[in-house]
Amino acid sequence: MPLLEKLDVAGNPLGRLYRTHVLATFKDRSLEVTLDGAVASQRETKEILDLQRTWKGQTAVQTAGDREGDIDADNDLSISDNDAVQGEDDENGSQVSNVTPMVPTSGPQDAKRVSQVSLAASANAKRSSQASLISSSTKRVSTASLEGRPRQRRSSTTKSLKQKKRKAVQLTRVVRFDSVVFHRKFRVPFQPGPPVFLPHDPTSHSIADTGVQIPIIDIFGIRDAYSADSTGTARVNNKNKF
Amino acid sequence: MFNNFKVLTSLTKLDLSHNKLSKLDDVNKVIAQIKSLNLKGNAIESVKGLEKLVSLEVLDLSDNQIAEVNELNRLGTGQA
Repeated sequence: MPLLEKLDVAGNPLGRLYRTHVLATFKDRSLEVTLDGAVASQRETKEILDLQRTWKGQTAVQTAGDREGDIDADNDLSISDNDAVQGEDDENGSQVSNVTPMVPTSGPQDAKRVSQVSLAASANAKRSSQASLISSSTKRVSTASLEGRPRQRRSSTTKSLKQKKRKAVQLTRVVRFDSVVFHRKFRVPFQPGPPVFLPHDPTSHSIADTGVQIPIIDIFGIRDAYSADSTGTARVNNKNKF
Repeated sequence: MFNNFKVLTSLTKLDLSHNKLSKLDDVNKVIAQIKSLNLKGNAIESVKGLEKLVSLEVLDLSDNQIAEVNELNRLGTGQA
């Protein structure tokens, strides 16, 4: 109903919290529609926007999941959450963890080929994000897990902590490329430290090791959060976009 | 019931309040051009069909039997 301006649903057994839900379904017109004689209040507006963001995220993850299922059926290269957790226990204990190249390696140089992400200081060190990247053209999937917390804290990892991390992995960020989707689960800690390596250079629009030029379609708006210098070093510009 | 409105091609405002209506199936096929629809005080549980009234500007569904908030998703997104 693209023209609907006034809607009355009072007197239905809908419960108390129907207003934000109903208004949120009108997407960009949510704040224009009059529901039961009143437009959205300031508090409702905030809730509506949060709800719409949640829906958008769910839709995106679901879409990515569908693609992942298709590709996994072809390649049987799915990645479990345990991969990401195990990657945090690497020996160096720094913010840089092992990164498996996205394409077959031909030498030591390829094995180390990663692009860097420099993270700005953040008060919220617990926040992290994961990118889910699937490569359908190269038929290769790799895993990187990036953890910024000190080694001492990781040494006390328990089963419950791993469960929490698994939940965090569910908050998967997805960076999609046109016709090529990289499925990766890795974390980007928001605290200062050594650069964190990414398997690709988002700004150059090229796939590492392949040189394939493709435009980025970022359904979460993460693209704007990246930049890269002439060496292909990717940097996180805006942590709030994660 | 809505077949009776087929001939009213210029109808833009319709008040069907307090008529014990429970279903709105195929409502869009006969009054697609409607701009204001009052369905207050009926026994409507599902708004299926209403989402296709793309010209609708004012809709009154108060005092019905709509229990599922997802049912109202149809009005905004066209999907339940």
